[in-house]
Amino acid sequence: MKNALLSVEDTVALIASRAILFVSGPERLLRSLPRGNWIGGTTSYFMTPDGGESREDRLFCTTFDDAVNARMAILPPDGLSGLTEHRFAHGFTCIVTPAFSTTLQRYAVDGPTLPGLYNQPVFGWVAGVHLDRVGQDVPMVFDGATGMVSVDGLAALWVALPESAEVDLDIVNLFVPGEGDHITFPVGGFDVTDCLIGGVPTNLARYIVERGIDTTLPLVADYAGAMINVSFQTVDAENGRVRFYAPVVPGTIYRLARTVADYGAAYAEAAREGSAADMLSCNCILNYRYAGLEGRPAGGFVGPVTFGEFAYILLNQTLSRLSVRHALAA
Amino acid sequence: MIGYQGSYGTRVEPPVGDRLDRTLRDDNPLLSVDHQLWVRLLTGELNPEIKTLATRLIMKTLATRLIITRLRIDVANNPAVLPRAVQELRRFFADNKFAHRDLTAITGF
Repeated sequence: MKNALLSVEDTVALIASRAILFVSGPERLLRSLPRGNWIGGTTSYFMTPDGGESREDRLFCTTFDDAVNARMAILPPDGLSGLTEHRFAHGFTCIVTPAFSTTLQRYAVDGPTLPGLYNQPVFGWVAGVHLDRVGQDVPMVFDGATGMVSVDGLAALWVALPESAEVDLDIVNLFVPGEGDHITFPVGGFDVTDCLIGGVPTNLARYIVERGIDTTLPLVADYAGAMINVSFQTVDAENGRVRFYAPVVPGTIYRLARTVADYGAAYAEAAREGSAADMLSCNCILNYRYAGLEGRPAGGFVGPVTFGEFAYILLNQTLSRLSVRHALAA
Repeated sequence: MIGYQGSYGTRVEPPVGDRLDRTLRDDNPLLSVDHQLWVRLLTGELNPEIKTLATRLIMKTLATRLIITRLRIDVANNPAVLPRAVQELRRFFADNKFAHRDLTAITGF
């Protein structure tokens, strides 16, 4: 697996070499690419070895040179079961879907129960736009094989690996639950009104405003040792509504996250066990903004900065990372 | 390496032989489906993710953590689905060698 922030010309040459690619970048550049073995999605932000940066003239390309086969497609919102049905016997799947799309909402809610979802890594991210042009530009995904572009589909790249290769998919989440009360939701979804805080029925939006809670910190749930965030999008105290970037799940215990003292040091610690540059990773635009990652490296992790991340399920304010290892020959 | 002819709006049919076709074998060494450990795990009575002085093993794999949590939530919201949840979890371990280390953390052997 190789990562590089490339010009259009260099990306075209890579596609012409029949490389299997996962590409991210501005819409104008993605539209200029020829057909080939690639999928892509829009973003204007990247993590590079030197730090986060916004570029309109580069594409982030990950080449899967370990692959022995690949196929790709854009799945519609009502065809997400294809994600697990079309994978190879040994390999992994990369996905990208547009922010604010029906497909994203559908995958966020129904994806976790797809049959066999957890049997093989599913890595990916949510396509976005430049933060100055939210509401003007539209996030898109691309299927390089057919030349199709979609504002509401899920682009999937199924990669087959040799038996000697092992894939590792994991997350780096800097947030842990704070000391506050348990928060649970009788009804799940992206939009909520009421919840139970410490077992007491409460309107979440008013609770947040009355207490001056910092909503740059997510809610965090402990998934058997994996910390899973749900980030705040808007808090409307007047109408008593909170909108999240991922759905909250009934039956799950959430807490407001503890403040992170030093994001840079925390990423460096997370990268300690391996070479982050050899992994494919994506990091959240909320971490880019709130942690001030522009111009600051994140432990050597490189990849697109995105409007949400996937490690099997939809994640928020999390770094998702994928690596491929080869077993040594006997 | 081909573009898969199944993009948005078109029927997608995987090539024959690419579908997962793994079934539990009779000689599988996994604990039987009626073993109480599965129930204790999915009702939260058993928490192998918590390190104790006596147990240093801990589940490592993200996939294992996510599927256990999803099934726990299903069971918490509707206890009647417990038998199906046990079967699904057991099948996950049967199908996936990468999760066997986690199974050791759970069973303790």
